Amino acid sequence: MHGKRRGRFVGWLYILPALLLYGGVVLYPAIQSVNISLYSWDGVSTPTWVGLGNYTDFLSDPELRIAIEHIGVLVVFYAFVPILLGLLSASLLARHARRGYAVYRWVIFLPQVLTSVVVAVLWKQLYGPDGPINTALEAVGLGALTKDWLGDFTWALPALGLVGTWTTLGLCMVLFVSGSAAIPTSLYDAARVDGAGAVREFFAVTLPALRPQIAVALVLTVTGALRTFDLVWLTTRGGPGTSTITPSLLLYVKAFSIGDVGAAAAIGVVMAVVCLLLALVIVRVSEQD
Amino acid sequence: MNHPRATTDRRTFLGLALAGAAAVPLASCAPGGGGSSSATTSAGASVTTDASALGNVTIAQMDTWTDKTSLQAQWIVKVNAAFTQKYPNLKVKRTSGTFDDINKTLKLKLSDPSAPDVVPANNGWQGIGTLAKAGLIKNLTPWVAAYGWDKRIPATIARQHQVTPDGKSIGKGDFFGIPMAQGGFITIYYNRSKLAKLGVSVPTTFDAFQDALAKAKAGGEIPMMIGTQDQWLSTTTLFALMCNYAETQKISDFVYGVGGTAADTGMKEAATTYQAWAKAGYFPKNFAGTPSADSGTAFVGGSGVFYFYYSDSLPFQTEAKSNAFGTFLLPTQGDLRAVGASNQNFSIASNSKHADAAALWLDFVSSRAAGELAVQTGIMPFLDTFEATADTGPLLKDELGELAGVQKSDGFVPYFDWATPTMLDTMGAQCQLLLAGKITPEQLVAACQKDYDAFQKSQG
Repeated sequence: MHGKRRGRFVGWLYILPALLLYGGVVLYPAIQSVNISLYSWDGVSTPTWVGLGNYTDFLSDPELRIAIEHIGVLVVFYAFVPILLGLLSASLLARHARRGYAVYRWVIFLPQVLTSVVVAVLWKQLYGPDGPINTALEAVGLGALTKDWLGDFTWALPALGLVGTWTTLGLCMVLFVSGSAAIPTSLYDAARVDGAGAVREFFAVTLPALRPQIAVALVLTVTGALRTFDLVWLTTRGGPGTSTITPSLLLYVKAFSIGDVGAAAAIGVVMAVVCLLLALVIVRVSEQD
Repeated sequence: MNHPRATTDRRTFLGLALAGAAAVPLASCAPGGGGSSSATTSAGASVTTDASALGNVTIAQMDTWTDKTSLQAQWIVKVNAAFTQKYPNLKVKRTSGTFDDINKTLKLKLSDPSAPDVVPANNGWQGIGTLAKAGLIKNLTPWVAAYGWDKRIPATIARQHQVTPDGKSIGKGDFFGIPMAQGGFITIYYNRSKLAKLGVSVPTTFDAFQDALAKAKAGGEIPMMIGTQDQWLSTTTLFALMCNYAETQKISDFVYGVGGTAADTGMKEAATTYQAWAKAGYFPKNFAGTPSADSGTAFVGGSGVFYFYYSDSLPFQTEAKSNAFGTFLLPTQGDLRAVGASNQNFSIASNSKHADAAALWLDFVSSRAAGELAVQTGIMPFLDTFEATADTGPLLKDELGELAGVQKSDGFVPYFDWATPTMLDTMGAQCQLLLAGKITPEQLVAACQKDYDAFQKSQG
């Protein structure tokens, strides 16, 4: 009895350093954000208690509604497209060992390693009026398709979404390839004996086996899309008009340009809760049999 | 292989942390605020203007010129050297940060007991307005009287540095900052050889400027360089155009929240003209996809006849290159008016332990001597009129002419985005919509008014 209790105590002691660090840099600021979100505060003067006022303002803000719609588009580009492409490449690679496979994987994973500033600067150049994309289109006789990509009200958001696809594809692919490498070959043998083709094999063996990896990829990419800030800030600053604004951008502007820290904290809290709920739902669904 | 749940949990908390992170730096003193809620330093406090009575003091001075090779940075170094030469017991320790960094962290810096003595608080609400209200910068009234700053500074410039002692209004009240003797305008640059080739002389009336644009178009040139992809340059031309359609007082009163509506500021007429220029094809074909900085590089590289930009901000590689360009202010109906301000407002931190020495520095940085150092450095002086010297290049000569003109009419119009903290973002997005033909000038004015009303309401 006595020994058991001490064992429990020792367990807490082991995690204490990590817990202190975690509490100090994550939990405490998170709780403080919730606290700040209940005040109207400019960052310096005495804060005024507004209760849930920041949250109701936030729900009735038309800009925020637009920003959330943009997130919907970005989720498609950040999460769905790369997961589909990742599954496709994984299923192709899983069937046979290819020469140069390691190099291929490394190249596709590369964007994931680049810092977001580098990615933004790179793509700003690529999308420029005289940038490589427009030049290439003209070179192959598609001059009519050239656009001011990042200055176009219709195309700026999809253009930024594509950058997201480019960065997250490598992660999805590596996750799925390593996941499918762990699938026992006996399953494939059995499927083949039963007369399954490549397509059937994918749906019957590869896809179900990759369910945990798909869940991880979804959580990472969807929360990534929700938090989109750096790419937009460094390329369009939300423009043209408001056609590329995101909730994170509004958070930043409110906290640091306008000095409405309470409202910014409210956006942060809502986003954190949404991320948490999404992650929970995705994991729950992926674990259901 | 990771267990998915372990990875997931780590990530979700990471998400939580990131979402909360934005508030962290500010959270450290929250809630409860840093300074007191009203401005401190009562008028009538005794001050010393005698440098020798101050003993050996080093003033910590901050500014936004991070690029050591920039003319502004060269100028401030000269100013500080001249200051110490004049007052050998007073030294200046200079630090600099980018405009963005400083403005976003100034509140925290000033809350610190070891705050710099002299800080480059921005004009307008986000800057001196909020800082004065929070009691973080000093009311300069005692020194204004001692040094006679109010007599030296043109009235329309003085307003740019004033806040009421209760912190509720800007554009009137007491000085909470001082302009420096180096400044600039929203000006029109032109390519000298292109203008000559078109057979057009420098326009002296608004109609002549419109004619020049039409002639440039007919002559196969890009009449006006501009790039609006990253928003901010889209407002520049509009703000300059407004000066043609409204009196200085009307625009100033609106910006400072004294009275009037957005419709009184000439904004509708300016937006109409601006949109007509876009429709007439006066801008480069890809202006909507071109970042502001790239448009400047293109103009300096010989593309476009005219360019609305900020004084001394074009990226000239050599001085010889700058000789190929001239500049003039948009000729306005009636008196000459132009959006213009001192390049930086300087304020004294409430926590400064060397306020008298800092005030002496403010006096020096706004003096004629500092202005002459600007001419010597090759950038526009301010707060007085200056003669060109034998070394003055043709571009600076044009600038000295601009300054003399606006000094004479006292027609300094404040930057419109000082009106509210969100105005620059709002107008940047609105101007992009306007130039794309997606909104009418009336809608642009309505959006401006809406932004304004929301802010006024929040001020109580």
